[in-house]
Amino acid sequence: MGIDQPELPWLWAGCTCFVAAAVRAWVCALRSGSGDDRWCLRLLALALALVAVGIGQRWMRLGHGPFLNMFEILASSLFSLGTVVLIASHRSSVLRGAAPVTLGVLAVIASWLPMTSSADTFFPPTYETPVLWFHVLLGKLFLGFALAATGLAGVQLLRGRLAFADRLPAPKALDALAWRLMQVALMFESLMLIAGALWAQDAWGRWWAWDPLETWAFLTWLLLVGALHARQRWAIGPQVGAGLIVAVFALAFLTFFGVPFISVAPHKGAV
Amino acid sequence: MNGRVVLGLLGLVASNHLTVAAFIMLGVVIATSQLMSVAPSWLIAVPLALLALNLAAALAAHARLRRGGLAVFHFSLLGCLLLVAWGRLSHYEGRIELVQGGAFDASSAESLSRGPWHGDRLSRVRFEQGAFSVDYAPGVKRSHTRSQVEVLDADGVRRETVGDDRPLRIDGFRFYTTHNKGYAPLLTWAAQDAAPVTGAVHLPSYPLNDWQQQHSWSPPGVPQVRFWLRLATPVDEQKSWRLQPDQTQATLVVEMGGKRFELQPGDSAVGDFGTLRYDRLLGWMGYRIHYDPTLTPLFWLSCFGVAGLALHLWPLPARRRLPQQQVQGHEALS
Repeated sequence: MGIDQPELPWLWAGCTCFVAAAVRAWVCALRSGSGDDRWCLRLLALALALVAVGIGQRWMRLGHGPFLNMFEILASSLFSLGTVVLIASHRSSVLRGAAPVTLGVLAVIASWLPMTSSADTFFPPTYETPVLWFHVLLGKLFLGFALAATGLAGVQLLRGRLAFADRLPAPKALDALAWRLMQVALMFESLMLIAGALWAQDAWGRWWAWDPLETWAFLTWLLLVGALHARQRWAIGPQVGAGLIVAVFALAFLTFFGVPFISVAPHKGAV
Repeated sequence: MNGRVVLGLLGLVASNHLTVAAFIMLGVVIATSQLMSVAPSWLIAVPLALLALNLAAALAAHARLRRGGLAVFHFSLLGCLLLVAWGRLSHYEGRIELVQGGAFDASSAESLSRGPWHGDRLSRVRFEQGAFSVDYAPGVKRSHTRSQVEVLDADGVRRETVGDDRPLRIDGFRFYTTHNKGYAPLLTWAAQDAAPVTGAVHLPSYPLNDWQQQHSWSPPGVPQVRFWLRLATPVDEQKSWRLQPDQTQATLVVEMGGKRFELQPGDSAVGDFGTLRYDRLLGWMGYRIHYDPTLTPLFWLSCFGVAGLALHLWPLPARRRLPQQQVQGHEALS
């Protein structure tokens, strides 16, 4: 393993740091009643650096980016989502306060990664297009913003149960910020679907074929748009709104990591 | 009175309740189709049509939807729905196998799906198949396909290289190479008192069916002739290699009238009813054919729509300040 796949020690070390950051965030939240802890962010930055080295080594060894199997998708998502969380937490103390939830989600991915097959992958010619980069980048940004919103929604749902959740802004302000993030996520998801359709048209001669990943990505878009309309129509409160955000993120998470897990490769059959 | 009825009806169709209901209906139809494969594909058109109607009515009834970024987004969305409908009415999807040196013939294409407004545009397409090669990575993983074609159009003859990821574009059609391709021995049959006939026999797809590179053919009034292709160098699955049918060394084994012949290119098998000459080994390539005139406008319109959404999300400073002020109020305390 060590000789054939030199990236693995870096990735495992990175995963350990992600889990450590999440544990630290929860310990702080439960002990001091605040999710805002600088050491969590330092651990997160270290985790990102280690994962980046691991991904880079694998990239150089195989000659292609981490786009193919579940192992590569989890590793690249760990990096991209972690980066969004780090930047968001750095810029906003409110988002930093939601670290126990966001880092908890990242810890789940970090724990999952070592359980997947790290077998080398073959890069199909249909993936050799710059559109793929845009498609993947937009997808990562969508999930990143949705994760940040889910962090706030998770805190909202924990209000009255855990002290750190009560120290964040008032429910309405937190709700407004979370939905603002979901609106940005919607924009990136729409662009991801458009870039994906453009890629599919050039790669496989069809812009949309209802393959499992396309279908569930569209259902995620539909749920998000439906939630935005429902919130506007029925003046949904912060608690229900938070539940809706968590539901959208759960569906997005299943789409990103569940569908490729079931069908082995993204867009299976189209490769 | 009539005006009131129309307005009432418009309000009903433009209702946000209907929007959410149509979203749920669309989601249920899509999820059902995906999970159970029982729902007919046209069923998806029902909630989409309902959404288009609802959106059009909402745009007519609610002035705020006709302003700023929200207007751009919703009008673009409506335009996209109409374009998708037009695309379904005028699209074409099909496939065809072409032998090296053979010309594209629309009547040989197998139509998989076509819209009622498509017409017979495909018959105007003219091109000729040239040689092709396919690269394989170790483990028989198909990599790049390079298929040479000669296109005959108003500007004369132009040569193009087509692949899985690089379509041949003619008259709005796109031709993509597929995994489906193989060998095609070129044969000439000369029966007594008849003019010689030359043609290629498409052997089963290679390397998918490498273990059964065989076929049979019955010339007019003659017992069945059977063929096997025996390659000089079998594929080593552990190494990378290139499939180039016209460069491949192979022996054609022929069974004709109870006799067995092993032919090299240029050799002939002489039987009681006629002579079969193995001219040379060629390849055949399978293509997928696509036509949808709405793709480019659909792409730009959807980009325009997302730009509208962005405009809506970052509007006048006064509108976006409220939630931030509330959050900043907290941050000052933390």
